[in-house]
Amino acid sequence: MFYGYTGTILRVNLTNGKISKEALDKKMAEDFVGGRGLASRLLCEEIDPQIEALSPENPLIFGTGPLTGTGAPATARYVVVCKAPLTGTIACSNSGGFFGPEIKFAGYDALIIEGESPEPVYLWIKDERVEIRPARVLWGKFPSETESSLQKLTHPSAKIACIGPGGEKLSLMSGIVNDNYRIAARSGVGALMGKKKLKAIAVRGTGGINLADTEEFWKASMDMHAKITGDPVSFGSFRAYGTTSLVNLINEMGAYPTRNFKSDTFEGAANTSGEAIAEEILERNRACFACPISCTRVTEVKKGPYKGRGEGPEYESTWALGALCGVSNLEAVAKANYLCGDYGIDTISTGATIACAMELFESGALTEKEIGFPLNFGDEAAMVRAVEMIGEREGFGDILADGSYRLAERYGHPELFMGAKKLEMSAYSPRVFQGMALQYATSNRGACHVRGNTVAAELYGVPRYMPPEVLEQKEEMVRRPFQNSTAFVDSSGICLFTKFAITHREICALLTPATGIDFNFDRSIVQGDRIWNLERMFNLRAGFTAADDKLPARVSEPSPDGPRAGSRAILQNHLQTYYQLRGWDTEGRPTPSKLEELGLEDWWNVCREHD
Amino acid sequence: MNKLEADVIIIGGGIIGCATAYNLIKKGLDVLLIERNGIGSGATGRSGGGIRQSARVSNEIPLAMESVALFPGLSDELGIDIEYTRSGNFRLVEMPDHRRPMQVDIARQQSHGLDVSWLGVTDVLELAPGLRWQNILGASYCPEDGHCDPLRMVSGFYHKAKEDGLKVLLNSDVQNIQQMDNGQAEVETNTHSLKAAKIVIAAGFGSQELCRKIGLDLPLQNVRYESMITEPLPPILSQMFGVASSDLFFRQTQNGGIHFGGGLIEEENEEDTRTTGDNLKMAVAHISRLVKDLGKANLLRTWGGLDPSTPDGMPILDFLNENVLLATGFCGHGLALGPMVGRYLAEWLATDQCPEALEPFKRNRFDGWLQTKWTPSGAFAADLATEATQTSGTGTVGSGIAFMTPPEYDDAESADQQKLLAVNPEMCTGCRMCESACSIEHEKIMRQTGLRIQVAYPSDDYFLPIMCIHCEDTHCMEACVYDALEINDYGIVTVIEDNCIACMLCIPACPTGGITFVDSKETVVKCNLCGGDPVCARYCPTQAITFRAIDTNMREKMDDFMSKNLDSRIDR
Amino acid sequence: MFVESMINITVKLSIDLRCYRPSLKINESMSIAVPDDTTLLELLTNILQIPAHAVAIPIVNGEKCKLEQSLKKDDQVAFWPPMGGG
Repeated sequence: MFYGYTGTILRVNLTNGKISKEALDKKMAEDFVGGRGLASRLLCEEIDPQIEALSPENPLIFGTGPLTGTGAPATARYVVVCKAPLTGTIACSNSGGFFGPEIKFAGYDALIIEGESPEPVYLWIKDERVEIRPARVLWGKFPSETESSLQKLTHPSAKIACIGPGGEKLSLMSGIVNDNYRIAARSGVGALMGKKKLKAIAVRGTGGINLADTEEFWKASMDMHAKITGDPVSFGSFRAYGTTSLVNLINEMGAYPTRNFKSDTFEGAANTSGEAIAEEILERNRACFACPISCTRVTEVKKGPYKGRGEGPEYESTWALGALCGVSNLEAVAKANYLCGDYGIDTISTGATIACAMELFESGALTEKEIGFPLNFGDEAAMVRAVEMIGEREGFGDILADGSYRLAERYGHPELFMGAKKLEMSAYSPRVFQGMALQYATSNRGACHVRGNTVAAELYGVPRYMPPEVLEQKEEMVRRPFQNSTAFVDSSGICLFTKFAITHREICALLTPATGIDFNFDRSIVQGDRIWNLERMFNLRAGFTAADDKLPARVSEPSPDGPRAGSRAILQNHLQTYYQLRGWDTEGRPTPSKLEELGLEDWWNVCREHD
Repeated sequence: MNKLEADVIIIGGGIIGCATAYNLIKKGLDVLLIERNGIGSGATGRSGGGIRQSARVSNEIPLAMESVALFPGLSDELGIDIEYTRSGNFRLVEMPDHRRPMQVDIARQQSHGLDVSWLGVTDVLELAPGLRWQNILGASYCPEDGHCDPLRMVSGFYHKAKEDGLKVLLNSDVQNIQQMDNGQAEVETNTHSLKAAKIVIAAGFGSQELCRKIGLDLPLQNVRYESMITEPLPPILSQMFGVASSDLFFRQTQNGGIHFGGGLIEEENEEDTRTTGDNLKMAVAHISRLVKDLGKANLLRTWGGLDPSTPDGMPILDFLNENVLLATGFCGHGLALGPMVGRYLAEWLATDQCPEALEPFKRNRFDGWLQTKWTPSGAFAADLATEATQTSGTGTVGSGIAFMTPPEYDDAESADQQKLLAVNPEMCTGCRMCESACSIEHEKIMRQTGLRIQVAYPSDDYFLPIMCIHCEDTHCMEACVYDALEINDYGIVTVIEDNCIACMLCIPACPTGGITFVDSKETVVKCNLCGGDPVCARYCPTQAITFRAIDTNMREKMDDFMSKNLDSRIDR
Repeated sequence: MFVESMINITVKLSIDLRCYRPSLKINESMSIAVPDDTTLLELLTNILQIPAHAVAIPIVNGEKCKLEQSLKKDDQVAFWPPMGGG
């Protein structure tokens, strides 16, 4: 009998149509918690990391955490894990909404989708009944159309995760859209789903999630509820202005990367700030499953060339499609954001790729003839047009659709790619936030802000304030309270946004009565470390080395203007200390003793067998 | 007894009453003004004549700025020279200890957009050469302030309004104000009985007494101000002057007299306009230290005046009931506010909508302060003003916050009524925490089907929970033929599981989708308010569900939006 | 002899702090002159009359500061309520 977990993993092979159910290995669940950890562990068992990402051998794993769907505050998360088409690293894209809980109610901890269908199909999961159905009529449809069609074809309350035209056309920036507005966006997981010709997964679950100690669980839930609703961040600025409340703040700090990271302050930031969104296009707030924060913002541009309706733009989207491209027109940014949702593509990578193209164009490496129109920084109409072309892979969009790394390489300017491990950086300048610089360089899925959002410490003071420019102790800060901790939180099924109000202790206080397994603070630290190391091992096996733990040369040069002019990202020495703290050798490889300590030596052997 | 009727009756012929009358008449209303003595005979005619925006509490600054902007055009508008001079206002600092607090206070005023700055003594003397430098360290200076003749100003408003049809009763004492059944109110004076839909009390020091007549005790304290004027002197001062450390004010009138004076707390709330020798001596000594060559000037006359003050130094502008609007408590600086307050009050009376600019002056800011002992001294008033600003800061900017501010419910009146679950879809974010709480509490398992409460999603921006609203009709009980539903003393219907055979007749009988079949139990379930502390209301993060007394109107609304949206439930 | 010592600074209020000066536009800063040894705390409580607990992130010239810090000429001050996000 499983509590918290459902105890079942669903395996679907799209090549031969075989559907099977497997029992969850309880020991594995204890070691890797669930969600990101468990799905990554499952992936390592499935494949040799050296395989081609866009191949039938690469499985797509949907994982949920033991808390997903339990009704404790903010327990809506699910993850998508595979070898990433964009980066070649391990991919773990994370999304909220209602899809994750629905998988749990249908009775599964994880879905492993292998093989490749010759024809477009969708998966219909109604509790224990699982069917692979033809999806020719859905092919080419936007997520919103797909969702309403599928709810007619299956169940009116079915929850849908699907790809948009971007994923169908194997854009390496495409994600998996669920509940219409939420997207597991980064690393190109949508391309793998498109490669498998799996248009959508529709789930309807009528079962229940057993809880080991209902009384205790309810007490812990109420306790966390009180902490979140009493927190001025989670329940204050987030609710009132969403993530975009940060725009003016980060810009005021001179840490808001602008025009492909050429500068760190954007003169048009106020136009695209959370306050402007609230005053101009906000319709209302929405919440994910069981979430008191409700940071989702339903917005609508009512008229004009950028008319549209959807969700967001969120902070990173506002930045990537706005400041990074030099665009300060809120309606254009909102429209581009809606289009990214329609095509199911990642807003950060999309914006960053367009920004990279803009710089290539302005420097003369790209011509108007190749693009079809001039693509200058600040040209909002061209930016919106480029998003559409990426989604459709139309004309020059065909080249843009594979991300800025490949674009910059192709046109002979690899130095204009602003990211690490082929994944574009996000909206916190590594020149200013030294912790973020180290985190971008070492993150397992490439330069990403949600693997360890050190800005919490370097600006908001959570868990404690460490000035952004300070280098001392940043390695330990990045490692433990951010990277390892995030790995644990992502694995539990709870949303990372609760972390401003709560710690591991509150999460463990929920996990224990939910699962009946003893989760505690000390173990959670090891679990986080174990997951991080596992991901690192995957990447090393996939061919990545310490040389890939680097940042673009541009951010190591002094910031040209703004209140933080002259600051730059400093990585040297930093990295070796970080490796040492992690128990890795100078080449950034976990030592045998470290692996033994974490109980990962088995997997290393499994990996060797592939040799 | 004579009977008269009007749209609005104004009690008090001072600047507030006359300016309000003038603006109401302009809007075409029928207005009657009652004055105990003569026009401007109260605080208005006895005031210092300063027309300033500076040195005011924060909430008053925007109103003062708007009002002062009207002054340059007033003489033309009213057809009388009100002797307005926009020559600036100084607030002089004499003691080193007062210098920094003054500078800080200047910055506070600047932060409200007011053009005010700190001037050192050299700069002060350059602008006001009539001052003695020996006792002055510096001053705050607001160039757009000034002074005027208060009596000319009030009579300007009065005569203009009278030309346009204002009815007036002078030398009339109001003895009673009462509301009538027809929605009007009646004002009784010693000679007349008057009726109007709206009554304005702008009676200065007499306002407190009138408020008590309608049963309200407001924190108003009459303060006596004593003034005097010298014989005409050659022009030496053009600005208006105040002093940081005391109540002293002074200005030179257009005919040359130096008009000066200050305030004195009057413990008794009785009409007393006498002056005291001690006070006059102090004022004379003080002004002689500050202004050159005053020692030899003769005093022409002295007089006193009363004006009510409030604990936070701001007036009360608010309706006391459906009919009576109170405008008083200007704390000795209402003259400059008069023209704008008159406009806003007229707008309020004509539209029944409180102008946004007057929101900070409502009387509920004193709720609970009535018993507090207080003295209307400057320092204390400033402290309280700080607090008042802080509490008023919970207001809303931008739709983001405005949307999320929950409505306030008044539970006090209906404490003995049975509390039920009230639903407000405006606040619902569709998070389904209510479902989760209900499932864990009653089913001891987390699931989304077979629940007593269910969230419906009719569109992408409208969501609401659907459940039993504990209606009085109890259609479910009528439908049940197996005695499986019972009603308890509190009117709550509960399921007797042993009797239920799951015939499901009750399910369609309930218009709000309050009954659900649970296949694992093979019975129906419905909300039983968790025995008195419903978990859904406790777990709801936005107060979309609240546990409180509800009225018929609310119940009908809930019935309506729930029954309309049954088909959009998750479990359908 | 008294040396006059007022300094000019600019102040920005953001997010819900804007309700203390509703007339300010988004990200608009106001210029005020304050005594030269004014601290951020004094600026907040005495001058702007905003309760200190409403402010979590005081930023002066792009750097997060302590409220005890004194202001200097031409400082660009920005106050933020508790923030988080990503």
